Amino acid sequence: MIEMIWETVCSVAGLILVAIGAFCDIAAAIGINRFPNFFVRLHAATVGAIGGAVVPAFGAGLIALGSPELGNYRFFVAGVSFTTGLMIMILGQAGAHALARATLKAKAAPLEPCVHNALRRREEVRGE
Amino acid sequence: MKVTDLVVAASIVALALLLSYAMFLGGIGPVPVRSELRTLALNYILLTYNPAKIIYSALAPEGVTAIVWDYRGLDTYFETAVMFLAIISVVALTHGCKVRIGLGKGGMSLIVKTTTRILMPLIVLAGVSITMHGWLTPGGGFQGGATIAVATVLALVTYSIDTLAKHGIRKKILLAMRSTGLIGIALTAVALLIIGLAVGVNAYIFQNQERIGSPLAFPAYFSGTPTGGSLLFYNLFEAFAVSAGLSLAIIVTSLREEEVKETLRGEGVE
Repeated sequence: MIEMIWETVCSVAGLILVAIGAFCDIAAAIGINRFPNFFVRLHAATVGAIGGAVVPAFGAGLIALGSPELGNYRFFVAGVSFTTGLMIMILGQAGAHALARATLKAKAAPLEPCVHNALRRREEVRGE
Repeated sequence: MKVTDLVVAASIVALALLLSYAMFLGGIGPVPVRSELRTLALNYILLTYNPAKIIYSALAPEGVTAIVWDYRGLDTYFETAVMFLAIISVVALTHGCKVRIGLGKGGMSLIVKTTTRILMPLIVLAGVSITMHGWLTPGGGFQGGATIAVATVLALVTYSIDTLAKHGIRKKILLAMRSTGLIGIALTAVALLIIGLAVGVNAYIFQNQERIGSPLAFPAYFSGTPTGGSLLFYNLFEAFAVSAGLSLAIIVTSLREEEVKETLRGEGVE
């Protein structure tokens, strides 16, 4: 009985995470098409990478844990899903940061319209 | 949204639908449908792991590794040698070039460096795992070695070539590692032959398990788990050779212009 409840909870939570991931992906796709410059489009892409890839990867892991028909393989699937999610979470933000920093330093993309630029403020403080 | 955007989108959709319809009507010719496996494929599937017919079997559950390193091992050895020659050629082109420490600006930002520091051990671990399961699940020495080499590439891009040189990841060491891997593969290929000559029993090159006329075999199980016999050694040495070889190729092709020019001037070439 407890196992059944646990499996149902895992499956439902997993499906909710996958649904959130689908929403984030659609939001990211709209953002990439509609946002005005490279830096804000990168922000939208990060929403797709974290919300649209990490969250559903965790969801897939939970769905696997709640699928007894997979036998012992569900633990392999869940383990791989969680590890993949974690790695994308670490890599996604670092990649976006590296891209944004390189583009800003090389002045490879127009900065306007700009709402807030933390790096410029830091450079002003340093007197550069 | 502009009208031209709509026209482009509609054209792409129309093209995809038209191509699909043409394929559906048989526009790309008849598609052969086979309901049965070819005899050759069937034999590999039935014999790759078959303890009842050891003389035809590699005793490894992973068919691709069994074919690559057992059934057609000689071919794979020459492929590995060709790759080694390609790497040697790249090294020969930059012969005499040395990494000048302090030439670069010290790599990327702290965030990227920290991320790399977390990820590098994980990448190496994934590579070792792919290698060590090569005879049980899809993967193997080449794939594992290539994965390990990614860690070097990541360190090179994030920290700079100077850092790699400071930590002892240099051309000579990598070349020695690559050669050791290749020698290991060659020794594994002739190991049973040497044993056979020593004890006066018939044996073959690239022999893994018992074959017709030869009772010699590599141990096929380790505490109940299949090891694939010689496949374990091939995968390990291949991973060693490929990780070192690819890292070497990446490092050599990442040498900076000043370092190469300096060597060329030394040789009297302007």
